[in-house]
Parts: sequence; structure tokens; C-alpha cells
Amino acid sequence: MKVLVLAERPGAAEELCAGARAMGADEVALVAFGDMEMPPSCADLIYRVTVPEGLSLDNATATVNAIFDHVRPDVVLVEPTRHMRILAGALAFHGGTSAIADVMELDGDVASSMYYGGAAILKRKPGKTAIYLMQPGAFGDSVAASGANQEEPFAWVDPGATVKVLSSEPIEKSGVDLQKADVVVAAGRGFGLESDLDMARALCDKLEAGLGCTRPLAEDMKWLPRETYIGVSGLMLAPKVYVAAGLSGQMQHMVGCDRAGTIFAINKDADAAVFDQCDYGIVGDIQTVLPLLVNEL
Amino acid sequence: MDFSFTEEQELLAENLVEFMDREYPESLIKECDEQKIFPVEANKKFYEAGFGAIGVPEELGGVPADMVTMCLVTSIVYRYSWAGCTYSPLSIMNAADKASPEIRTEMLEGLMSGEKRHSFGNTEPGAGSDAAGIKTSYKKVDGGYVINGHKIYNTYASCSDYNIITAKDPEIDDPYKAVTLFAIPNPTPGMTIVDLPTIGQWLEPTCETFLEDCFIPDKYLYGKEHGGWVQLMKHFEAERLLCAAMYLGQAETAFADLCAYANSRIQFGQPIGKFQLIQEKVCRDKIILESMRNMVFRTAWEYDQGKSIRIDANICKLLCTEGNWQICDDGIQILGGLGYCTDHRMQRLWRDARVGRIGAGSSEILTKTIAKDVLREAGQYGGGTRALGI
Amino acid sequence: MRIVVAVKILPDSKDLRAGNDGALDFSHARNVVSEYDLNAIEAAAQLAASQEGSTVKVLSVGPASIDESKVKKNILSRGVDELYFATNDALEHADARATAQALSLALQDVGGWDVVICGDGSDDFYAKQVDAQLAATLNVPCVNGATLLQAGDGCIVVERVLEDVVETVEVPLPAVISVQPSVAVPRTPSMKDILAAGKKPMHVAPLDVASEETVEWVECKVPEPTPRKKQICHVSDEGAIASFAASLKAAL
Repeated sequence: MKVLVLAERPGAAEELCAGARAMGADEVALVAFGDMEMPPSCADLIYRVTVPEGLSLDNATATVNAIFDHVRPDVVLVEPTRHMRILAGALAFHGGTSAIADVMELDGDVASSMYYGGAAILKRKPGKTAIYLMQPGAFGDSVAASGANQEEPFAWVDPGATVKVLSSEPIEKSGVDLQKADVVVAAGRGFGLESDLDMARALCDKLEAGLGCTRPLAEDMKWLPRETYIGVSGLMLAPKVYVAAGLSGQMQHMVGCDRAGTIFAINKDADAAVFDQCDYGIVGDIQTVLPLLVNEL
Repeated sequence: MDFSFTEEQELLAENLVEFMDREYPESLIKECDEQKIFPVEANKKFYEAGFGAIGVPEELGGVPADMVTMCLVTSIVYRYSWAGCTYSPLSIMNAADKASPEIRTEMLEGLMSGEKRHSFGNTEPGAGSDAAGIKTSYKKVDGGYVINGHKIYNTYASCSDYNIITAKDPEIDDPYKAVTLFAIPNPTPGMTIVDLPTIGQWLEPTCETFLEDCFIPDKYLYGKEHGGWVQLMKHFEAERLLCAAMYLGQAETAFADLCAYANSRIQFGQPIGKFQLIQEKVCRDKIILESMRNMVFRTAWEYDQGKSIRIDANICKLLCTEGNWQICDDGIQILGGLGYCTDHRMQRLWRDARVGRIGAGSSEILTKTIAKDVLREAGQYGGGTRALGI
Repeated sequence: MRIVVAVKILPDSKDLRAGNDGALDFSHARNVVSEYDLNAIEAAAQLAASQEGSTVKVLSVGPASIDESKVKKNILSRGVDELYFATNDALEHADARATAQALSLALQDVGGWDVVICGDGSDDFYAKQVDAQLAATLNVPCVNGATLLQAGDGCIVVERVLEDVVETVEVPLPAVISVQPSVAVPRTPSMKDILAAGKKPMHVAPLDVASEETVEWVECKVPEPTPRKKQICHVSDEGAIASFAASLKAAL
């Protein structure tokens, strides 16, 4: 089986190439953009695509389609970034199919993904060409990536009208990669003031945890960076320990932490839905509970 | 018989609910209640979003709407708070009718933007249900009027921009021909307003107004001299109906809260809603609530058809204030200790509900009036069931 | 600028329940505009307001059941000039490809356009794929994740927040642009807007589409909740904090 991997970040490239091996791929080809650094022994073949100066990565549709025609893979695995989603959509059109998005689990060729924000789990099978946008961590880490990393530049194919980059500013990151954190503390609307978050930060220090939040705290209040909100349109996490502080437990949020090992909840409302979905809960105001808890730890 | 709202009404209601969820969260109302303040910013947004103009004639910059729509808007607004929003198309129409040309534009602009508000005072220490028994009097002087008197239970007066009061011309004996309305700007020398501590409705103060040789220029005459009584009666029935819609909204919230609690509170290993004595209350309150809803919207429909709602508006007010009181009281009973604690809003609803049976036509006066009118009607039809219409 | 907003009409996710057979029960759900498509409509209305003479048309494809008067009025009360619904019951569970093909067909009836704006993702699949498929079908450029739109000369300047960078790009028209929810907060239509909506042009027509599903549904089931211990105590209970802290340490 031949697998083609589309990724723009080395970590995801390595994870998807390993996933390809786990699926039983005997040939793994990777499309690498620009000067992306390659993890050692990642894929058998690497097609290096250089995006012309001033153009955005979205313009690589025609080039990726050409690589697809050249490789003729059975399966395409795609990192679910914004740029890659566009390339995957264009490629799916080219291949006469639809990409299956945000796959949480692959069982043979049957892909599981969320339907209506996790209200149901949808299992689908691809048609003639399988294109999967894979959620981080979907393959587990049982099989390592391997391959000779044999590089081959692939010539740019003119896509027609082009999108030009006027500027590109790196986003200042909060530091902690919640995706990799073993312990996550998540703050919700129970935090009435931005300064209250210091109590959550104190708990994070004790637990060596990363601080995340619900969508309103990042999108509406803008108290925390948007890359730290957890839920259906944000991060989907599976840490060992998840502490839900001052959040009610709406489904849109809880699907983002449902795979956590142990869930702890703090909320002043005894009827909050979060208490139905946690292992240990404490009914009380975060103003009271968090300082006591930090002290106890 | 079609009981459905129009698509436009449904869309409006959906948008309003979304707006109220966002701008009038329970946390805000709880804080306002505890601090006895009015949610000024949220109220302003209500008008900015165009809801305040619903039911106001087009020539005043409003969006015409029928009484069903106005009752729907009122009931939804009052689900969130008692008097946390000044929605009142009738007071805008009153101002348009009665304000003198000198103050009309300014007054309407203030009301239509939600930034200004009027209070109304008729009740006096010696004149409550006996509304015509007022003692406050005025005297025409050069360039204006001098008013003397004392108003009580004068809702919102201390924070209002105009305190609209009734006063009598002492020269005229017939109490119904002696009354004139004045819009007294607040503050005005000679008018002292003090707040009266109450057990509920804390988002707006309840006040007492003292008028001592209070002079106001001619332009503050509100409507025709000696025409006060007729003017007060102009929207009287519609006002009473909208008042009923307010209590309907409050009851809808109390009922939703008591159901949620009956479903979630576990005792003896099961939700308390499984126990028959709780079920009895839930059933009774549902019947009351649906009766309130049906009566309010049917009466609104009658009003829109140009039918008389003289009796039905009174029934609405009596049914909704008494019904709301029963539901809020059952709410406290079902919530138990939690209902008695100020952390939960049920006690606020209960406190706010109580005055409904007293103000703007007490239950006793309404009962008397309804019975008198019904019996008169039955008499007119000479017995039998003909008075029912069909 | 001639703007078309492509939206999805689907059952309200708030009304979904778990059926006895483990499937989703849609029977209590009414049709609504997919949540983030409202942000796309607002973004389009604001973009149109920034350039005189602009028009906003909303286009939706789906089964015949999407043709609900209230849904149409809701859309038209949000700064939209005209509405086009193209229906075919084969589109009930349409995947990204089938949807994009239906949209591109229906676009021919909408008339001239400069940009198609899409929401971030639909309430049901949230796959964020129709934008790219539609652009490929129409053979125009596609940009997603837009958080700011500015009309330029023959182009739209888009600010987009990506995973690691904030990119500002110039998109030549015609193009397909999808927007993040934060691009614009949907307005609260006033009574006036709602009343005016009923008088705006609505074009509803069956769509002759030979769309075939390219992805096969195997199963759609409400997941069993992850079993949790649910040991709840109150902060005022004796030793509550100590035992909560102990469980937390033990889980690390």
C-alpha cells in the first residue's frame, strides 16, 4: 500500500508517516513545503515543493495534484491545518472524492469522526481514493516512522490566479503545548475577572500543568490565547489529568477533554453538567476552592 | 381558531431571547437586585437593537406592531428581570399625545433612545384604589402652575427625568373633571422625592413625592387642562393587559426553574419530581401558567380585532398576578432551603411577585369590578348563555 | 462588489436527542441556518456596506425540506438583498464534493458574482472542506480562516489567523473565501428588518443534480458516555479539599 502524507509541520509529518506504517504502508511518500526540516528516517520519499516567493501555500493545489498523479497513492493522510485543508479539498476534487475530515480513529479504511460536535460518532468509508484529515494523536504511538528520507524536488505547477502574501506575523505562543501536556487546567466563565486566572495559574504551577480555557474566555473575553481553547472548534485533548475549573460542562467543550484519563471538576453550581462527566468533583466557588487546593497540594 | 404566532413574531422572539440571554444574564440581574440599581447599559442596548421601538407608530420613528406582539415582547423581557428594562411603547405614545410642543421632541428622543424615563404618580396617602380621591392641587399663576400635594408608592420617581403626576383644580367639584396631568422635570425646586424601603422590585425605587409650592412653567402641562382623567383612561385597558404580560413572563421563569429543580434534586434515591406531592404542584402551576398565557394572548388578539377588552384586561391582570404569586410560592416550596436562600433567584421572583396583587388595581378591586361588569352584561342579555357570545 | 454567501440549512443542534436505537433523533429539531454561517452572512453584509453599490445574495443547496419560510426571512433580515435556494432530496447527507458541485451549478442561476463567502464549518460535519472543493470546481483561488476582510481593487485583502502565523493575503477576484466566527458578530435583526425580509426576493427552485456520494456511511451512533466515577463533594464537607487533592495527586 502506498501512502502520501501532506503536512506543513515536522511533528505532524512524523506522526502521519508513522501512522502510515501503522496502517501497513510499504511505501510512504511525504510532500514537504519550503525548507521544512525533516525528522530523521521519516518517509521513503520526500517531494520537496518550493512555493514561489510572495505566494501563499494555498497556491500549491496544482502542484500537490501533480504529485498525487505521479505517486498514485492508495491513501492520503493530511495534517488538519488551514493551508492543508485547502490542498486536501482541491486534491479531493481532483481525485473525484471528498476528504474525510478530523478523523479520530481509523479501523481499516473506516474512519470515525464527530457528527454535530460530538453528539454522534460518524463512521465512514472512502470511495476510490482515501483522503483523511487526521486529528493529532489519532494513530497512537505504537509504530515509529521509518524510511530513507530520499529527497526529490518537485517542480512548481502554476495554479492560475494566485493568492499573494502581504505579511506573515508569527503568533506569540503561550509556551505550553497543551496537545502534549500531561496535565491540563481549563478555566471557564466561572472566572469573573481576568485577575482570577492567577488562581488557576497557581494551580498549574503546582501540577506542572498547562492552562487552557473554554471558547468564550479566548474568543469573547480574549483573556487567554485562542490556541488554548478546548472544545469542538478548538483543541481536542487526551491528557492524563484534566481539571475543569469554573466551567459548566457544555458538550461543545467536553468533547475536547472526553479522552482525558481522569477528570476533576470545580463548580459552584451543583447541577452543572460537568459533574456528570467527571471522576472527582467539588461543589464550591473557584474563589474558595482554588486557593485551598493550591495550599493543600 | 389559530393559536400560532406569525413567523415574524417567532423570529422577533428568537432574536429577543438571544439578545436578552446575552445582555441580561442572571448574574447581572442578581447584582442589580443586591445593589438596588437599574441595568442602565443593558437597557440602552435594548433600544439600540431596535426592540424599544416595537409598537410605536411609524411617524414617531417606531415600528408598528399589534398588541399580540407587544405582549410577546413584554413577557419575554420580564422573564429576565422585573423592570430591568423600560420597554413601554404606551408611555412613548402618551408622551407624543400629551407633551407640549416645546418639550415634545426632547421628551420623545429621550424615551426612544432608552436614556430617559418617566415615572407616574397618582396614589396618595388618602387616595389609592379610590383614585379620584386625590388631594394634590394646582393653581394657575402667571407663566405656569404652582402645585402642592403628596404622592406615594411613586415607582421610579427619584431616578426619573419627568415625574408625571395628577393634580386637581380646587375650583371644580366634579373629581373627574378637575384632574390635570403635569410632567414635572426632575429635579424641580419644591419637589422632594424620597425612596421608600420595600421588600421587592429593587431594580427600580419605590418613592414618595412631596410638592410644596412647586412652580413649573406652562410647557410642562401634560395634555389638556381638566382632561387628565379622560387621558389616563385612554390606554388604560391596554396598560393593564401589558401589566399582565409582565407577570406572565415572570411566571414562565419561575415555572422553568421549579421544573428544573424537581427533575434534578435527588432525595431518597430519586428526583423529587417523582413524588406525588411535588407533582401536584407542578401540575397545578402548569394549568395556571397555560391559562395565563391563553388569556393574555387571546385578550391581545381581541384588542387587535378592535373588540372591547374592558372585562378581559381586568381578568388578565387578576389571573396573572395571582397565578404568578402561586407559581413563585410553589417555586420556593419545591426548591426548599435553596429557595429561601438569596443565592437562587426564586426568592427574588417571589418578592417581586407580591406587589402584583396590590398595585395598579388590587386583586380585591379587580374582583369587585369584574363581577360587577359580568353581572351587568349577563343582565343586559336577559339571562341564559347569550352573554358568552355564541 | 457582488457577494454570494453559501450557507447550510440543517436541523438545530440544540434540539438533537439520542434515540432509543442509539441513533440521533432529529424529530424534534427544526431547521436553522448553520451557526457559523450567520457570522459569514454578517461579514458579507459588512463588506458590502464598506463598498457602495455592493450586493449580498445568500445561496443554499439541500433537500426540499430546507425551503422554510421562517428560515428564509431570518436570512433576509440580516443585511441580505436576495436569497436563492436550490433543492434536491439527494442532497440530504451530501458530502463536500456533492455540496460543492450543487453550489457551483446553482451559482449559474444566481448570476454574476465576485466572491463566494463561506462559514468556518457546518454544525454537522464541521469538515471545512466545501470552500476548497467549491473553489476547485469553479477553478478560482480559495482562502480560509479569514478574520478580517477588506475590499480592494479587484481583490479582497484578507487577514487570516492560522495555526502559527497571522497571514495577510491579497486574493484576486473571483474567489472563494471562508471566514472564522470571530470575523463578525451576527447582528440582532430588528422588527423592521424582520418585516422588510418578507418583501425581499426569494428564489427557490429544484436543482437537477446528478451528485453521487463519494464517501460511504457505515454507521452514525450516539457515543456511550465515557464511564466516570462521579465522586462529588461540597467544599464545606469535612476533609473535602484534602481528599480532592489526594485524588488529584494520585492521578498524576
